[in-house]
Amino acid sequence: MKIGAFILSLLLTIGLVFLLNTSLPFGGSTLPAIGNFLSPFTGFWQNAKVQSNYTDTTFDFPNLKGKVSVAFDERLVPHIFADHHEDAMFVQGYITAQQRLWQMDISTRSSSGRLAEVLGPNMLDFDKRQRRMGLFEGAKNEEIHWRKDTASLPLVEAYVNGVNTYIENLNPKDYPIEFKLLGYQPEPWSILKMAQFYKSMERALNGRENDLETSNALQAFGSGTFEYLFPQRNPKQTPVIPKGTSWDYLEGGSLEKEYDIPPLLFDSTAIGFSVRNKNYERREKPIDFIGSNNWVVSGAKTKSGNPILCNDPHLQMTLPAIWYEVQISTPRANYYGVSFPGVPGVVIGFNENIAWGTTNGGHDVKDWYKIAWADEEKNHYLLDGKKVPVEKVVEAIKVKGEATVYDTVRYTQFGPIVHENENSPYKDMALKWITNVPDEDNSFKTFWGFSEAKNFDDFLAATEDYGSPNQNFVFASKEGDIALRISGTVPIRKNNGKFIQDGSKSENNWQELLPHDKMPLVKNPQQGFLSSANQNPVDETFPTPMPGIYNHYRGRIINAKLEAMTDITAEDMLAMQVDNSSLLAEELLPLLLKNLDESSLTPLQLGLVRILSDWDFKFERDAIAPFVFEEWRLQFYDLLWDEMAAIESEAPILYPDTWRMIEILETDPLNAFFDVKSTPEREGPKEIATQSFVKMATELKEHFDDSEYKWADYKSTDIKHLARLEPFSRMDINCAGHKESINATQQTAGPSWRMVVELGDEVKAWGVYPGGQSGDPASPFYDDMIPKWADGEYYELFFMKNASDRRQNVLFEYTFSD
Amino acid sequence: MKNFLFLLIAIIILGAVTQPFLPWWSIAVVAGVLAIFFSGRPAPQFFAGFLGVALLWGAYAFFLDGKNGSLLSNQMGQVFNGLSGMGMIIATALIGGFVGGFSAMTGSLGRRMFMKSS
Repeated sequence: MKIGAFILSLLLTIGLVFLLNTSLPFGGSTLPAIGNFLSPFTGFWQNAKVQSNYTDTTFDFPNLKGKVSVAFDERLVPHIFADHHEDAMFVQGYITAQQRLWQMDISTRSSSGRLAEVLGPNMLDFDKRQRRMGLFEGAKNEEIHWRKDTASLPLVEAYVNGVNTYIENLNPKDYPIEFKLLGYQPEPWSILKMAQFYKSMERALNGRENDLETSNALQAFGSGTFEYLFPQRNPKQTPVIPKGTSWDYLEGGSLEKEYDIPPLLFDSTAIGFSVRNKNYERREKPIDFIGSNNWVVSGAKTKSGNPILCNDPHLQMTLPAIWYEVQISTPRANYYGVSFPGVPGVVIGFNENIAWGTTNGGHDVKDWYKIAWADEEKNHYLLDGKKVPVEKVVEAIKVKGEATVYDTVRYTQFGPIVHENENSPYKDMALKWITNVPDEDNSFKTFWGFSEAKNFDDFLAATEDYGSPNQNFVFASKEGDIALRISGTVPIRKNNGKFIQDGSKSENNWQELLPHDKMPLVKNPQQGFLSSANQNPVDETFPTPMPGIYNHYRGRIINAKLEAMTDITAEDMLAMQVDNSSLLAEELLPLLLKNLDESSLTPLQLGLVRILSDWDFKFERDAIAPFVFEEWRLQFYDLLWDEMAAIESEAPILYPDTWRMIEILETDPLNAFFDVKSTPEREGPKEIATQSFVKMATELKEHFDDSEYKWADYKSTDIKHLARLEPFSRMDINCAGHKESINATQQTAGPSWRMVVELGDEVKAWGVYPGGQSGDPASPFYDDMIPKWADGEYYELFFMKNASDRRQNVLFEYTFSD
Repeated sequence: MKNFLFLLIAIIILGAVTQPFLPWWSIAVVAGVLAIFFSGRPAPQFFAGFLGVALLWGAYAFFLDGKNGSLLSNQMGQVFNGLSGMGMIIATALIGGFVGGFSAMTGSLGRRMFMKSS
């Protein structure tokens, strides 16, 4: 009897402990083992100790060459002062790991398709896609290349050592909360992981292409209508390099002869191109155009006579944030800016002599080639009439709790066959992509070069090392120079890569890469300012075509504003960076209102017309007109381009740009595209404008009854946690902006770092980003900058002159020595 | 009653000393083994074990949470079906309590079985 009670009790206890020690499914995901997770000695409560790191601490690491002191300011920005450059990189790695370790891990896993290994079979398809695009292979090649550069290798290795020193000294109870929640462990950092991070940025910034949509549009409409709907250039656009800039610096003059680029052509029948398929596998809806702004004004235009440089790169906004702010001072230079967690150095910033900023180039560097198979097994393909074998790469993808999955990817001379699915419109197409083309560039050297540059010559030399993704680098120096260099790698190929290419002819492959010293450059222009906002890089006089998908509004607003301004102050620039006015609205709304037939409208609808007529075209967060306009614009666009929607049900198709729609509305109102094909009546701009207005009013009806509903609610900006964990996300941020205004804040993307630098005797700088320095949700520094960012306000950056500078408050200090 | 208090205090002290260095489930061994040394009926021993571990885990969680201003517990509560920060502390104490309670009861039953046979 007593034995029975004992055994029963023992079994009950063991069962309970076992249950609490096991990961259990919970609402579609897996909960960590509850016992370990809730125990305050091992589980998540340990993460509540985060503030105990915020105190003066001394570290001894024998691999350091000398002493390093780090002052953390009131936003937890580390100011690293080191006697040796390598030590500075070691400490940058150590501190970044302390603040952002899980983010570093997950972003590199995501890039290389290693998520299923820790998150389970749900992520397998995602992993396969990343691998099949060649991102893991590309990262491996990058690592081999980086290891050859003996000058930068010790610095890169020092950073890796710093991260790994942190990990080695980390007790599992102190793992970042996400590791505990998702139930896996950090692994050592490496140069390969850095390369994987670079690939994720290249994937995001090099990915813009619409070859298939463009090819389908040409096939569907014929070349006359195609050229009418999709002209090469917006005549109102002001290119990145100002019109009239001399190309004399390009040795050898015209490149056109040298490269012999044939005119645009696309012969779909020649490659048997037909993708119409009712069951086609749709590509994920491309996210709205994400871009960036940078500009610089020379001393001639500023009140103080000092050049001012501004930059706000727009990216997907996440928590932890993509940027980590840092100041690094070595005997070689003292510089400040934002870095990528996991990668040494500073990407955007300034030093005591110069400042630099960047926007994405957006050039088309991604092409699809239709492969002609020579056998049914797809083991050989035809190239210039000859049978060529594919090279097979087997991707081994580990899956949590299941057997490793082996995925065979066929590589052709153009690149990998990404999609094998019968219903994919990309099936049998090879991907040629700058991201995966091995090159001899080294972007690390570029950013170190910028960080340590003293003048324009140093800046220019640093741009020569740059590989990808293509960037518009803007520059200003204390000496008074301003400049803009478009850097990166532009392939020379037939059709400029605009259409799907015939992959059975090697002559269609990329012929050459435009040499770096032939990339566009402008220095000290007459106009006294330079800017870029992802628009067309050059006018038609530049000898080499630079096709791409470009922005059409932000560049025009920036240039018009800067042109008109004089006696500019830093405050003017801060205000301009958060400007919410929109040229798109200014140009489209009057046309829509002009075409609106008010006779059939209800009193409420007439009230909306009044609100729109009084609007100043600014997308302020607490305004009503912006969301009325935005919904109307989208409804109008959809109704007008019903022809595209009809084709889209069977094949991906290109839609016209809004600027071109406005032009057509202005100059060609009788065009047949205004007719809605599904109705017997013949519609024109009036009918489209009126019908879309009524549709808008119906769609938004419930919101008109809610006096609290404003533009910020319609736009609904969310900053999501990288694992989409809602409690760690910050949703419905109350902020202004529109994708076509300078403050290009959208639903999930927006200004990821706002920076203004005035290069006077004493460098002054301001900055803010939508996040915080700590990646730990338990830290008050996890999201502390979001309110100021949302309000369009800035922090004055503490650019320390030396290690004992205390002009701003320092919270605590770390001291590292050997 | 005296043994109830002794067992409770012993669990808290030995738990506080060993928990930082051992896996979480070692608290079950601590409560179970200690219950062998202190005689008592299974039901009070259960409650001594329950209270001992619940107090240890709850108080330490409460302490850590206080230093953190509940920043983390409020967010974690949302992960667990909308519990509050205090709710997370209570959940922690309850889970620890049940482990401690059943372990102590097992220890107590084991002691009785052993005493009887010897």
